[in-house]
Amino acid sequence: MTTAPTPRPARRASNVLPMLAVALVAVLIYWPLMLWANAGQAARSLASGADLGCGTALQCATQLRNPVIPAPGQFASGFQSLSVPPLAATSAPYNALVTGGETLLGLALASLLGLILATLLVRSRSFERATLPWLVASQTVPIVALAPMLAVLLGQFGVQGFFPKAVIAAYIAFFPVAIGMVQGLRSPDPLQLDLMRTYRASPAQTFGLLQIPASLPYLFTSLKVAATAALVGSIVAEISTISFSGLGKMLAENSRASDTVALWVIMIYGAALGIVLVALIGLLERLVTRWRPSA
Amino acid sequence: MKKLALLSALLTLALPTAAQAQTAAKPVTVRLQLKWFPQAQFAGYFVAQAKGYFKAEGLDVQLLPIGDQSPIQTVATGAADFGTTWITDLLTARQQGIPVVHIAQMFQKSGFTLVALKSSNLTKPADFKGKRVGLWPSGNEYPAVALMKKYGLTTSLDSTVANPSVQAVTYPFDPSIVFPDKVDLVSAMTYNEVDQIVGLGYSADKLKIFRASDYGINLLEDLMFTSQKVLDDKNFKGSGLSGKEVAARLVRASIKGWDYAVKHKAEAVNIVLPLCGNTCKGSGTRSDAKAHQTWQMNEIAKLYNAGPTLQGRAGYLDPAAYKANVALLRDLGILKADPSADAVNYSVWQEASGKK
Amino acid sequence: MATQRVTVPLAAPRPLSGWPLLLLSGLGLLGLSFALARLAAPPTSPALWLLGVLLLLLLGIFGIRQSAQGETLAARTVPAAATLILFVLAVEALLRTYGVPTGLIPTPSKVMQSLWAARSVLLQDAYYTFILEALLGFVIGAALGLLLALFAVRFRFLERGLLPYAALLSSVPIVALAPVVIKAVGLGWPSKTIIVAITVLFPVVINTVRGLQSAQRMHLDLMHSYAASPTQVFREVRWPSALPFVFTALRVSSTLALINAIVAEFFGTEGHGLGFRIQIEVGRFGLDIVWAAIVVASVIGISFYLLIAAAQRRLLPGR
Repeated sequence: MTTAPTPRPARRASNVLPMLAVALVAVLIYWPLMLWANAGQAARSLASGADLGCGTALQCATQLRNPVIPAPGQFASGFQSLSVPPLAATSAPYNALVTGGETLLGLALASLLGLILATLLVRSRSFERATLPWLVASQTVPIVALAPMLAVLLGQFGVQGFFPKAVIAAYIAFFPVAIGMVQGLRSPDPLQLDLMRTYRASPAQTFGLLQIPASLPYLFTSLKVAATAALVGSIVAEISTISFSGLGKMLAENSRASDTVALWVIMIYGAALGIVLVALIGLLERLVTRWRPSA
Repeated sequence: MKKLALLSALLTLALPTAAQAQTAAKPVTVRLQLKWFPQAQFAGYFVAQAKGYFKAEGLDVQLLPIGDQSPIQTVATGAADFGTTWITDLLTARQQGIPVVHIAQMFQKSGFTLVALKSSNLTKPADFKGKRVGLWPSGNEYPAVALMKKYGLTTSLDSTVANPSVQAVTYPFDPSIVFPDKVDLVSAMTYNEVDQIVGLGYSADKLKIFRASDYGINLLEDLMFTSQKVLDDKNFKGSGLSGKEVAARLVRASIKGWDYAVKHKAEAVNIVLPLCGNTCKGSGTRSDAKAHQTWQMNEIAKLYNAGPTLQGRAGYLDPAAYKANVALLRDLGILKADPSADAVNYSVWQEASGKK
Repeated sequence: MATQRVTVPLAAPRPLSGWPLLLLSGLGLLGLSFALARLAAPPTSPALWLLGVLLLLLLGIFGIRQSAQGETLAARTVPAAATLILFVLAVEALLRTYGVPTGLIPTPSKVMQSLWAARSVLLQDAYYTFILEALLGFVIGAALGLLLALFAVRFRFLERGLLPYAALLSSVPIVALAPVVIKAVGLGWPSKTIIVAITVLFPVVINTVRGLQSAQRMHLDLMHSYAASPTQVFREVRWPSALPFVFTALRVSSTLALINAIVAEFFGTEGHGLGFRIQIEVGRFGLDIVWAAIVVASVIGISFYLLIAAAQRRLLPGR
């Protein structure tokens, strides 16, 4: 799991035009794809004797109640009904904020735990030998599948609402963060360590002044990797446990309510939330590591 | 706060029973786990909440919604104190060693159906062989499994059967995902999904509805239960009341709420509507929340107003019906042994209703 | 990787000195479990048993410490193996001490029994989830990703237009994607294959492009001065320097592929798959089967990861 931090490529303003062109192509593909997919669905419904309130399959394609791919008008009305007013309990922006908050708290918890574990791993060889293989292996385990059970166990101790979701997000983000931190704590080269020694720095000073700062870029790199997984964790936790808000709760609700358009809208909000979270971590990274000379 | 005190004082005056003597004390916080998101299926509890019936019993009841989990798990682990679920769920949980106890039976009739298009020419359960059946996971699949087992059909839900005769398809509760393209039969509750299927454009005359209860599979649904721990508690959450007393009060207020809800359906629907977001909506042409919930309330009333309820014994688990359910589940191999006698606690209902 | 620590073992290490403690701890825990199994009901005073378990674990920890000394093969492998075994044994003893019902947390021995009893169905589930969904999706996603990356590097316009989207889309949570894709494609395994392919695609595109561009200016200039053709430049310089990046993406995706296939199955299946099995058995309190399915998934996940890592070592020796 060597995910060394990579320097961020310089931003180019010239990306705008190509990006617009690609977006245009996507829109051009979307329109016939939507018609084709929905018309097929409509034709099958009509053939099985459904009364859809429209004549031919093609006419029905843009007004299906449960479209395969929503039509532009459906998107527009779906967005409006789920976004206005933005801070109502049933609207997506508010619920995205809740989920985002859970995930961020989870990532903070994961960083703290990751730091503690990484310190232990770096300090004690026997601890490393006993646990590191299982920490690496645990990343290949579908821990998300355990999220509902974990939430139930936490509920037993009266932990409910916002916090268990954050714990599950932390639980999922924790291993990549810990392993990234181990790499980070070990990243100072012998030369730097020798320098600290010639300064007569105590082990604690070496740790606090050299190793911790050196590990920060690794922390942020693994946090960016872990952010999406942690977001998945908090959404799964919301779906599968008692929850009163959050994108996961909306997802569960609207999937029960047969509101396909709403599912698409929530997906787009979820995607946006993932992107914003990663961007936030990137921003934090730049603020925290500003002192580093740009390599 | 003043308003609440006034309200409870008024209610105390209006309902002078022995129990009310203690309501001046701080109300006891009780968490009741519903089996689903808020909808008319739970109208009785919402009415009891809105009308202050719980408060009059000295209870501060939180009604918890749930997603993909079984209410058994939240109650068994103490995340909730009481819950509503189906009888098969309760009995299979007990079989796995989870100490949960039946305390009141709210619905006296099963509302579970399997729905097919008339054009598919399925007329009896034996015709299901080789077909694809849409089922809900999380313990909601038992009535269908029981129905099919009764007719000698096996499904892919069984982790010991490698070549099942019916292809079970699980989907997340929305019939439009699978019906009618991907499955021949789909699970539907009389009070919810049947109307959603109508909303997809298939009016009732185009549908063939197999009611599980018509084929002798009358597995009882919404009941109230709690954990053995709560029942044995001498001092529930330090309230000075025993767990059993709290249970009796909760059941009493709930039955009162249910009686009111089925008599004043329109009012009950109006109480439920503001509590649910999108989950109260039907689908397609029947997506209007109020219309869908009104229809749901009517269907729910039919399940409540049956059996013991008609004899003035609402909430009572008819021992004959219970025996029949157990016998059925044993026949089908879903239960390996008879549940022990403490699976059902009749004394809570007796204390709540004052009947024997 | 880590800087090599300069530690020269002066005296000969004593690799076997941990064995007695480890054996004592392991057998002790095993003995506790057997004793508990003989009792008719869980013990009335669990505190004593708990103390026993903790003491034996402490012994085990000392044993692990002892056996981790030195640089022998045993010193590198025994601690990890002992940790797993002692952990499982301690969990078994604790669950029996407190009489935790199978419907909440099953004992490891019960899980193993159920795993054996349901082996044919679990293998069939694994076939759907791993071969048809995770592996096929992984191959499709990786192949498409490589192809897209090649195009992106060949045509600057595509790189500028497509890559920013790929970076954005790689942070889309799969749970938001799954319901929509399953609704559009259907409940069968292909919908899950597509979801896996999508989640593999973007990291591969991004890393491959980064890798193809990582070729050092000097090498490229050198090739240029040799008047090498673009194909030669690609084969000799760009592709070799891209491979480590590609493998990083493949390794990370290999673990995500299986996890994502399982999570996607929570949103609807045709009655097959490890995710389906987990979901349906959680609802029935068959947590022994749930854990058995997780064990199967973990073994497959770890093997797949190791396979890719081994392929990397074969193709890129010295890294």
